Amino acid sequence: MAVRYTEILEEFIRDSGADGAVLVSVDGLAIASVLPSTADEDRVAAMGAAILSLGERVTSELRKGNLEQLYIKGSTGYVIFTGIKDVAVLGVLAPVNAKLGLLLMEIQRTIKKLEQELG
Amino acid sequence: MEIKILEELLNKPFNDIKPYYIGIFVKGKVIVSKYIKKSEKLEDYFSRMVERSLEIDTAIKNFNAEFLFSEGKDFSIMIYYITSEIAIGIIHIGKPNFSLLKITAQDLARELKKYEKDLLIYYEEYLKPTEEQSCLEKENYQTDIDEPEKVITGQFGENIQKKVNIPEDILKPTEDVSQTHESKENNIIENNLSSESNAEREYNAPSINETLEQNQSEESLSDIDNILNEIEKEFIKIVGPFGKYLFKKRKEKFFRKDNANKFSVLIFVQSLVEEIPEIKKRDLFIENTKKFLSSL
Repeated sequence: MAVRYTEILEEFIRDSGADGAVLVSVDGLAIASVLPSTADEDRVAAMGAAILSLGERVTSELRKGNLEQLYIKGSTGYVIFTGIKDVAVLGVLAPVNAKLGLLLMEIQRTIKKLEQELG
Repeated sequence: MEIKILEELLNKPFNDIKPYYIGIFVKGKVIVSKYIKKSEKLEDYFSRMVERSLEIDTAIKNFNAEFLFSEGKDFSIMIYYITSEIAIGIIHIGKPNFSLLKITAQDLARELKKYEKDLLIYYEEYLKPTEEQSCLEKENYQTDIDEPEKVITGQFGENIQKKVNIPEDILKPTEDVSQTHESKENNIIENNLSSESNAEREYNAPSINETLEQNQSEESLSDIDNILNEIEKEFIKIVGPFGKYLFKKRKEKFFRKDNANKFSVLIFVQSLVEEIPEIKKRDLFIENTKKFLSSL
């Protein structure tokens, strides 16, 4: 099954021009990943699940619905974390010159595929 | 540096964009904040979000985080990193406006940059002691036999009370800030009292001597490993996803030279307990791990 997830992530990277992607369970464990060597898989996975979960708690306190996506901009690129239902988180690493519109569209397409796989 | 200066710096963005919440954070701890409506839970969650997000620079080499942004139909959140340790957090209710939040944060960041050293000193002096104290405990854990007992009986309050011993003449907060600090201090004290009474009421734990007498022989490392695995599971259940990373990091610090023994495990568990901000969850964690600890 993890092979299938990896294939989906690889396909996403090919189509979107992202640097890497990681599929993370809600408890912060990496399910599958295709990441550059500069990224620490465990840390990215744990951090992504944690900040998305804390962000959800913030919006829940505000009674403003769900927080489905957040992104962090760095000097060398972007990291985008998107929730997949309540079962997983997709983390995407993109270069600083990434076309964000295209990237976000590809993320949505990939999430649909992953949702089907995750059931 | 007086807190009042920072508060005054917050006044401008607060009046300009009327955010729901705006705060200055050092290593994920709030130094000052202003808000439309006070909510300790919100501030706690947001602080932890800031703290966790700071990890990005260690998770990805040369990332140099600039800002975090998220928006929904009726809200937006921005965390603007001044340095890898200092950040501005803004929660805005209403139609999301990324550019406005970014410009506001940039302006404030420029001002705060002047106080970078002061902010770090303030953190070291007034917000860090809990960590320092726990480090000190870690270093001295083998000689301090009282500490493991505190873990078992849930009496970890004394240590936490020490951390908020801030001289009044140095801190001259205005209304919101003093309320924040006072309420936090009160909360901590209340939580300690409740945890102590809960522990007394609910838990008849064996003393450390009783525990030690049960097994005078050399501990089996594999048994300790199994116990640590079980404790890790319980910790992740309580803390959430970041628990795995936190546990791993703490474990690496504690058990460097195969020095795992009953004392170090108990002290290790105490350090995990101190990582759990909510007192109820602390109690639950202690309750859930006591069966493993008592089998040591």
